[in-house]
Amino acid sequence: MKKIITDAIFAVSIFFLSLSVTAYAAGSGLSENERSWIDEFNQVCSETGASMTLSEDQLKDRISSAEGLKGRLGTLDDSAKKVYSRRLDMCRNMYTFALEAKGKKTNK
Amino acid sequence: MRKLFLPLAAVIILLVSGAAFAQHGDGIKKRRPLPEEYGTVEINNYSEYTGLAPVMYPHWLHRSIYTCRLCHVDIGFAMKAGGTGITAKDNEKGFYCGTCHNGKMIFRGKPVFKACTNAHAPRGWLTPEQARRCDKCHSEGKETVQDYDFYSYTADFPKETFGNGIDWEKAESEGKIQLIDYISGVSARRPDLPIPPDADIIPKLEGMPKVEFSHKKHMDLSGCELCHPEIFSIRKSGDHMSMADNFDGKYCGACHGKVAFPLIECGRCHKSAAFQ
Repeated sequence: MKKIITDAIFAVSIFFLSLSVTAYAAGSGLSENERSWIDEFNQVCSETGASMTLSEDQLKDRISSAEGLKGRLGTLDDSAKKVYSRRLDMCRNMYTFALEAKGKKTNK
Repeated sequence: MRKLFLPLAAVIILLVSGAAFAQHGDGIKKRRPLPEEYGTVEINNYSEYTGLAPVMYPHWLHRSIYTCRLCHVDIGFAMKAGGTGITAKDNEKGFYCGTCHNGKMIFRGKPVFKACTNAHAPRGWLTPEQARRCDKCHSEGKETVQDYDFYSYTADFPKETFGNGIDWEKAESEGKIQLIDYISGVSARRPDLPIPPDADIIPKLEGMPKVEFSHKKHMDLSGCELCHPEIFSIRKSGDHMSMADNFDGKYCGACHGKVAFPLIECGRCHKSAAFQ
């Protein structure tokens, strides 16, 4: 009987220990998926400042990558999603703006 | 007929005065903010709901340290007050205010104070230090001690007439302030930006001096995506920017009149000897 109680206490302790480790891991920093999403975002959106120097094909490529990223926003947690959703919109809109501006220039 | 005259006159007077009252709001001219108040934003998405005072965000202090782009593009703060929907949880996770206010980032030799993490705890549960920390930002209507006093901080900054009473552009060119534009882990590394040419904006009003718009000055502070296309989109024929729009918070008025120098400093944009 004593052994059963000791084993039960041990099992419960292990359960709570693993729970707290999981919670700690979740609370400390970003998951692998989040990190990879953000890295890709940084890659796609680092050229907004130079968007007027990009060709129309390059701009279309950046816009389509941004749209791809938008479809995968679900991999981020709520706070990150809120921040990066706005950042991604600004980035995509800037490339679209540059593409439209180029189109307008060509039509003149 | 005479019996009807008095009530009719009273109704007409009431209607006319009511209309005049409605046109001028509460009938009191809006107070011009003091230099240290200019640009201050009240953030109250959830503060009062959770029993805290609203945050009084001092734009003057942050703009003396960071570019507009860093906060409004890289950190993701919306351009309209209350548009971001910041929560204590976001800050705790290192977003928004918590990007810098995390107790770890070192600025001018000391850690930047941490945003209050247990904001929802009953007041009695907080230590005096925690309560003081919450009050630094959640300060509306409170006498709080801040780390930086506006007047001593800006004492030797070049002066201007309106807004904060500071010529921020000159303060930067004289080296009084050095604006940070990059935070590791938040900002993306950007190549050097090619600067689009400056533009002359010719007013429709005869005799009004043209505006010499400097893309460089604005890009250094704001990057591209802060203005395009949200504030300045592709102009279609027939689209005109007017001063009335600006005063309404559109176009230049999205920043000028709120945080950047106000629109009543005509000569800062309409370059003419008459305005100097």
